[in-house]
Amino acid sequence: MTFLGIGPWAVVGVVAAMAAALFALHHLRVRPAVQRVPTLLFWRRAIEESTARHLFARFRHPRTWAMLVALAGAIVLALADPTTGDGARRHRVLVVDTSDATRATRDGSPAIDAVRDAACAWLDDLPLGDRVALVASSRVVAGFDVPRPAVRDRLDTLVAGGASVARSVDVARALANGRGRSDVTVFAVSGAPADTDDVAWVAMRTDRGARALGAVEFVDALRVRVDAFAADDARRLVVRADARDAISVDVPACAGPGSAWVTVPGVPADGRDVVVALEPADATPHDDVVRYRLPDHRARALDVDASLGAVQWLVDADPRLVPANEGAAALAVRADGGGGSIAAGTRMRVAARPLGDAAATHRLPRLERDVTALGDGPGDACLTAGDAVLARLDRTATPPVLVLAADLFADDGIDGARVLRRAAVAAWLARTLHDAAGVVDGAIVARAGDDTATVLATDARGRAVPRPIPVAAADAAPVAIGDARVAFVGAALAPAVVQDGSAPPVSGGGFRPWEWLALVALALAAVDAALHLRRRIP
Amino acid sequence: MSALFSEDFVAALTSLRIEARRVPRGGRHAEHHAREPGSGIEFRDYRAYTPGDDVRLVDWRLYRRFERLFLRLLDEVRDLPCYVLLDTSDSMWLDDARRATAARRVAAVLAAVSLNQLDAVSIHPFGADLGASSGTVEGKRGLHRVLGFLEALEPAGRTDIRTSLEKFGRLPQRHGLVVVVSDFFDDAGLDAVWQAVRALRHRVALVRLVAASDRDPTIDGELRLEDCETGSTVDVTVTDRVLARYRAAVAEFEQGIEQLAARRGATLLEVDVDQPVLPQFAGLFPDGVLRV
Repeated sequence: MTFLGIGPWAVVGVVAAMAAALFALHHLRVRPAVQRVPTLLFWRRAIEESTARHLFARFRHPRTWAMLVALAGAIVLALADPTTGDGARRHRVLVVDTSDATRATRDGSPAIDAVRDAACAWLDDLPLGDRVALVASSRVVAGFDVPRPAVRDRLDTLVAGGASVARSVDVARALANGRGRSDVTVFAVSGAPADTDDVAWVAMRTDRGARALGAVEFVDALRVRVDAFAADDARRLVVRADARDAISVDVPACAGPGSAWVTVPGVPADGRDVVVALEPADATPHDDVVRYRLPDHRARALDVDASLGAVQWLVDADPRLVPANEGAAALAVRADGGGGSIAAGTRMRVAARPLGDAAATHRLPRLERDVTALGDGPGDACLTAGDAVLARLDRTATPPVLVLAADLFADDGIDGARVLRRAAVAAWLARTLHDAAGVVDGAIVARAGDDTATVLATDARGRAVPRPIPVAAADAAPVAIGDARVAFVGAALAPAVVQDGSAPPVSGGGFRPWEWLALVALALAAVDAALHLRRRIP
Repeated sequence: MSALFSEDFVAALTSLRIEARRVPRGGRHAEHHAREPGSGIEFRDYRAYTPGDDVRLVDWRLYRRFERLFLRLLDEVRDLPCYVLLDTSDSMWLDDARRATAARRVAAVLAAVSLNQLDAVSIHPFGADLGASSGTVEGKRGLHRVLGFLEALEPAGRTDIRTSLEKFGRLPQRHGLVVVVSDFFDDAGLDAVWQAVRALRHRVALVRLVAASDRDPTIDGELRLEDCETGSTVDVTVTDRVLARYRAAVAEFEQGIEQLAARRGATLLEVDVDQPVLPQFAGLFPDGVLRV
């Protein structure tokens, strides 16, 4: 079991020390002088009247004190997020890049030295309870059973001239797999394959090339993410569909440092394979190429059953659409307001992302639906899936698109409902406590381990205002969605530790017991305050 | 004489008198003039004879002159039993027993005045309950007995005025003057005091002992106030606002006492425990006479 990342005995020690300190403070506190008086009649009257006018005077009541202590404890537990069992101890796999690129010298010293120093510093900062394994040159240099000083010694012995870091990452993944809470952290001097964005990268900034490529497809377009250490005008981003039609992007690909998103238009989402590459290749060419199989987004005409009426249509004709309420991405189309916006028998053009497509290895799902047929009618249209999906109709786009929240969670194996509930509670608190204008009516986006989700809220003037909401601590992968209408607030190039997909921290549905306890305590405190005010207000 | 009652103190008491507006019937010959004529020795008036009148009061000399019957009306002087109910609860003994000292001196004054007027006096100490009384004391020489009784009084726990006065009311007593000497700090509040005083079938005088520290306490800061009678405590942060509310509560209490006395038709005297008792009594007795 861990508590705030501290081991059980350390927790016991801290609690004991705090208890001893509190006990000592209790006995050493300044006690009020005792004054004998002939009667307390008048003092009680004076105190009663002053109690009604002092906010914190009611805390004198023992019941309120007990409630406060319970509330504080619950909040501490909710924040500390204690875990038990196998998940208590984090397994960390340290991958050190020893590829040929580390032979390069910078400022007179080989790059491998910088990698080693950074890895040692990282190692020293780890909690004592965590177990560390070291992987380099696609082999396990030190397993989890090796003591940390020995890991450090072996780290010091690493030399440049090994295999590609990509294979080391694969070895590290295999090593971390099934270990519960585990991380893979890579220290490298060059880029890495784009599909390794579930690991952390600590960039040594010795390479002028791209660090990673990522991409997400849209209707007739592809958005490519390029993480670069430095600007490199000599390299261009190239997209080839089926290795035939080379689509050269007329945008400097490596406009770094930082992450750059480049929209590649004219890429038909018709199921073909696409290669995205940075050309010319650098010393680590495998980092600069990523392959995608585009989903089939070709529009299909659906005949809507006239017997369903003019107001609500359930689109279930497409066998690739799962029925409503059976999955986060179930698709149902509804036109609000009636009024003949959709006549019976209207042919609707629905472009849907194939669900359960194993080939769709991209992380970011589609967010847009072609709802041209719906856009002509009054009122909003929305997609619903279970009770956890929020969506909004973006009428500013051409054609109008529906921005879905639920889709964001489908690929990541995250319970979107839980994230939404957490975010909704946070938004409610923010709105209540800080009197923030606007109502949360937009998409709420979060992924496993993200620090912050962003809620698109509508302010008093009807403008969409992104509001960052803390969701969970850990991963901080940058994500951009759509036309930046919903964006993560996260560290783009920060050496963040990314949760391995084996145990997403925000899965499981619902609140944790501590969070429920905190909510119950908050509710009790609110009831107590209300009763107190009711007694005091004549 | 003791330190509590000096010779000068006792000597000064002889100049004071208590005059009752109404004197109970019966009793002994004393110095209180009854409202109705009676069988005294001082002439008050003549009245025409009506059948049924006592023929012993007919003035035969007037009959001889006018051949009509007139009665000689004589002033009747009776005694007024004085019952002093003395609060001896723990609060009276707080702060060097200054309240108890003042209260016993008040009782001594009243007893001395009454004894000088040939009235019967009895002291009834009370606290949580009615204590043993001094018994009825008569005659001027009985003052020393009263003073000795007062000297020997001990703290009697918390204050329960209602219980004590109800118990006193059940005693077989002649109607007279009941003087309650107390600070009236009863946890049951003024309602209990009112219930107790209302039930007394005597003329009533209330002597309230006040102290400047009660009205305007000179305390400040974080304090734990302890009730000297019950031991209960209250933690108070004494601020100006709290003090203002305290003073308001004291003022309300004093106003309640005055209203209580007015409703009962009782005489209310206030004695400052920090000042000498006798000069205060001289001020409270206009022309040396207290009319009750």
